[in-house]
Amino acid sequence: MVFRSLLKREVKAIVKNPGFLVALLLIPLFYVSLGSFMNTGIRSVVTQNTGVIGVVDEDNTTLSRAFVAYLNNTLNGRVRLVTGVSELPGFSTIVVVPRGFGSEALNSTPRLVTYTPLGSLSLTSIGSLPPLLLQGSFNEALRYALAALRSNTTINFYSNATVGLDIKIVYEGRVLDYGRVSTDMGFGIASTFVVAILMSFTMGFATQASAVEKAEKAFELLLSQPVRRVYIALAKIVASIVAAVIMGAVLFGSLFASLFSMSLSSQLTPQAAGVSYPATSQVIDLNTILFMLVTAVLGTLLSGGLGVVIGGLVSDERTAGIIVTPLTMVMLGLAIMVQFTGLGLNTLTSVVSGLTVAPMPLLLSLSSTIGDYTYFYVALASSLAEVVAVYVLAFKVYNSEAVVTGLQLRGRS
Amino acid sequence: MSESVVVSNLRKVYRGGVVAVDGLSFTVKRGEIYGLVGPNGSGKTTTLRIIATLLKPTSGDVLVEGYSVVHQPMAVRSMIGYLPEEAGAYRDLTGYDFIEFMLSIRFKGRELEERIDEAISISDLGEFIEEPVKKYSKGMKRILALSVALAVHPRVLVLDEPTSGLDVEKSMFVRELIKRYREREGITVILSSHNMLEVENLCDRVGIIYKGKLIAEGEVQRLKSAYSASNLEEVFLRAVKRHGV
Ligand SMILES: Nc1ncnc2c1ncn2[C@@H]1O[C@H](COP(=O)(O)OP(=O)(O)OP(=O)(O)O)[C@@H](O)[C@H]1O
Ligand SMILES: [Mg+2]
Repeated sequence: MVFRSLLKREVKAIVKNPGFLVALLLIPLFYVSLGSFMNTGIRSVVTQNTGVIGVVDEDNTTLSRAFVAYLNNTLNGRVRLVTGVSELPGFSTIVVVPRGFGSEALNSTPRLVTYTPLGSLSLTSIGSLPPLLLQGSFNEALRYALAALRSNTTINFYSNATVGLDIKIVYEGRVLDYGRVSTDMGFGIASTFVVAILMSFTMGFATQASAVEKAEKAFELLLSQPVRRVYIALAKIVASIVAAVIMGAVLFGSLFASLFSMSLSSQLTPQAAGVSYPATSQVIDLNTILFMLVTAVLGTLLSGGLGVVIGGLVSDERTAGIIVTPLTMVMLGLAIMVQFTGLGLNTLTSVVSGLTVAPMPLLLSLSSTIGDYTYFYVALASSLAEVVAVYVLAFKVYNSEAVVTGLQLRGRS
Repeated sequence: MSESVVVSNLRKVYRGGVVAVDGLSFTVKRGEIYGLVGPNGSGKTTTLRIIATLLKPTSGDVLVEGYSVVHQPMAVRSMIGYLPEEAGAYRDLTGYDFIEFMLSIRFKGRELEERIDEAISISDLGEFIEEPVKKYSKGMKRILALSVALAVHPRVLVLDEPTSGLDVEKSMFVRELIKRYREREGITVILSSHNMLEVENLCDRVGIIYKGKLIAEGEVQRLKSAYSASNLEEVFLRAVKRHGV
């Protein structure tokens, strides 16, 4: 009975808190509107994975022709013969069967060259690139073709026959280096999480810093001192960023250490045979790294400013916690989401990336890959504008009496 | 004597429509100790918070040493020392660190050290000054906050129920402090209180505030004869009753 009243009081305190209702409304609103913005990016990835495959048969031998025919069978008729790579825009991937494919197939591992457009950088589009998805079909078609060539054998006889892939990523007619694409992509994915987590930490710390002060009752004493309130707000933000960076360094340091110890004890997954991965990882551009730092700074400044706004407006710590906890999850959720959907390269997604910051590292990687930072600059400009707006708001809040009384959201207790 | 604090036509309506202060006007002369008394919820804290530039009036204004709380809040802040109703301190700091932090906003170098020493002697905390504030009792926290407000030597001291929650001895100590600072520094004091005895022997003039309005004002002696009362408590009750219907 006692527990029941205790539980009732706790549940009521959370559920009836206006902050809880605000968070309940804002989260779906945020994701739904974001989803429709990002739609363009997702669409391009989807067509890439399910589209038609073009084949250029440069070899034009009995074996290569048989290979193409069987490939078409295994892929349910999704193969079209084309004359050259220039037709790529109409296809999800173009496979070039190079001269000598037939004779190589009889002696060793024959190679294919695949050209895939860089639709969008994401886990689903690069981590499992269409050519890699196709690897099984290539092998199967090769085995059928070999078996058909010598009518007395079965395909089981060729069960070891595999095709080597030379993967090329194409953006606006230019062939990009696959090693570069995967390096940038790895950097982008890792940085997205780093930035999102730093932002979450900063926001949590900044909100707490503002809300706790009210509870400690020293705030009025401080606010009545001749000190510019802008400095009070800024001090909280900068301190929160410093704390977040320290916390982030420890978090990622230990994460890395634990991954490292795991990879020592267990074998790394062997890479798919025959795919020509770059021997060494490419070095990431210095200015990409610099831009990543700028992104992290902008992101933490933004979330710190938001934290101070929230902490300054709420009337108690409970409300602060109730609002900020889901908000930090929204940021992380966004970071996870873009890993899978990728980002379409257009102005709208760039602006949205800039406003939410979390996807910006991925956009930066994409820009670095294609060697064109225009869309990243768009994102940078929008997030900069947002930071300025949030700071104007934060300073307004700190100069208003809401910072003393709390913004009274009408809610019955 | 010239005017130190001029409250004119002050009105404060909180978000949600509560009229906390309703056309309040009074003047506090330089070097005077002025007491604001009134029932719970009559608008004392609201008035003092407006003077301390924490709240903005809905209309009207307060001039503190000639500076407007609406238009020159920074100048007002550098004139005042304010003790909030529920003054507390940062729980993680020691009393010493708290004093140093608050005073470092206004002073530096040698002067800062002198002011810190002054605040420490006011606070009278002894060994406790090096202990974290979370170990302090309510009264200790209150005097710690007061020591900061006094040590800045403000032109105007704004005290919201300075002795609430203090024992007899501590209350007397605080009253003596307030008197001493008025004598020595010639500062103006405006305070609120529920302790009529305290107001009677500390304040030069008293304003009785009821539902955000000033219903009586004057020197304690004059109020007593005007209401034909033997003490301030009776004055208070009669004044409130007269306006209460
Ligand atoms: N932050 C606030 N939001 C809304 N209404 C408020 C707020 N603070 C005070 N009030 C209301 O304003 C009125 C005056 O309150 P105030 O605190 O100024 O009274 P007081 O005279 O200091 O009372 P007490 O003697 O109990 O300290 C009350 O009706 C109170 O409910
Ligand atoms: Mg009060």
